[in-house]
Amino acid sequence: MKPVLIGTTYEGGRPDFLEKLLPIVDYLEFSPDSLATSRNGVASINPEKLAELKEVNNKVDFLVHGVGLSIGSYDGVSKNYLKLLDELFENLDLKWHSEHLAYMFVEGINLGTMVTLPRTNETLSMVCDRVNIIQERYKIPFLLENVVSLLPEYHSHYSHADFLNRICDNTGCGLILDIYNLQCDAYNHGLNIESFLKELNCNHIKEFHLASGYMDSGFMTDIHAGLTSDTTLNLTQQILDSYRPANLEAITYELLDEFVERVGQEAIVNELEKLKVLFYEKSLATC
Amino acid sequence: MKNHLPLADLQQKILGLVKDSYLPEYTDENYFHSVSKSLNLQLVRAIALWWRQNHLERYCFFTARFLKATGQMETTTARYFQASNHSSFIEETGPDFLHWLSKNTIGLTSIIARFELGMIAINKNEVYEDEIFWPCDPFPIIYGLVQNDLSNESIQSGEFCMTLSDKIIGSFEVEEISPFQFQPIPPYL
Repeated sequence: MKPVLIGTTYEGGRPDFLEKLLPIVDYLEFSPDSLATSRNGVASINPEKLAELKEVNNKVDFLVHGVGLSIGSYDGVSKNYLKLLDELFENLDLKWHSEHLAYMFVEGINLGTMVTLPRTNETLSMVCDRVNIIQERYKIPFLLENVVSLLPEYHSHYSHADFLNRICDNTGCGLILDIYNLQCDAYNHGLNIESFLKELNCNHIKEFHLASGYMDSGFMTDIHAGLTSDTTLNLTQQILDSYRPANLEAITYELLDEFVERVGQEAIVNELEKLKVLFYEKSLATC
Repeated sequence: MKNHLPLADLQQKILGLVKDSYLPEYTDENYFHSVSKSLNLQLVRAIALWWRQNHLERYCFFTARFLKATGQMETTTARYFQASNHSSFIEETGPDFLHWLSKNTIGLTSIIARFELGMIAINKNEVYEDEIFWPCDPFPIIYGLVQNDLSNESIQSGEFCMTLSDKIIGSFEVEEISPFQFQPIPPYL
């Protein structure tokens, strides 16, 4: 097992923050959507943000984590998103890229948030076809992430874990396991995390996402607004100890750019140092 | 095993529910009736609105602060997003929202949206000319919004003409006008 890399989200445009992050992180994870700008319906990567990333291309690894691909839309993925991804691939060295297993657009209309997919044969086949096309187009690993289910689930052919296993088995793609999202699903819908993990082939996991959120109307939401809670860290440790995901390479602390100043740059740096102590310096590979 | 609705039908119905433009019919599966009455759906709508408000607050600072100070933020943004298929990009949604406000609201809300639309265009080095009639002194209002401290005292009576232009240093000029020169803004302009 290789040492687990530690990284965080970065949306560009905060050079002072970037300077503080670089000595600590192994990689930065960014979303094409957050780096993008658009005119007359044509999206492109903001040139200033791209230049900022190019400047540090040789100092840190880059991971791309999309929001707007909408891999689960019945009427096709977002072409705007693919254009942004093309631009990033042309300009930066990317280690791998990922997207949420969800949909955000229906017939081009923006739902305003990501909605989970029904785990049916039709969806499985559609998602696998699209993952294959993406992997063919971009020759680096592609991962899918489990998303918080906000709406009640539509009846499905497969369990959560079985569905993820089948996508990975059929396509060879990997997984991001968002540990906080699992906690949300457990709280909101009674997902049994232990059963889920027992059924999941944890060797598909290449990356963990750690984050926090807040309670709204009695629901746990995944608005990444703060530092990771002890319960999320404990669950992470438990997954590492009990399920030993052999292909896990990276742990990302996610925070929305909107909350960087509220949380505080120093607190974020401390959080990353804490994750290094917990999961890097004490990982099996480095002991 | 239950029959599953084709994904296209399911997603179209979910879209309608999220946008509040679809009411489940008698023939629809119980699932849709239950979603339509659920707190979950309210939460999805609230989260979608939260994201959009968040982006708008960053893009159109003056207008968002004015809407918040006057208690209109939630209802106005909800009305806007329900009425339009907005872009994912704030560079497009922002101006569209301000245009929409300037056309679909009245009084100071419309005026401030129009003012900010001009300021944003000028800051982006676009060629821009506009003349806005204010039914009160704009400066205390602008100051109140900058300080995030808008109060009733910020609204001081008078009639003023504001000229916005990329050719003016500072982007705008304000001139007090006599009552007979004042052209009140028609409600839907």
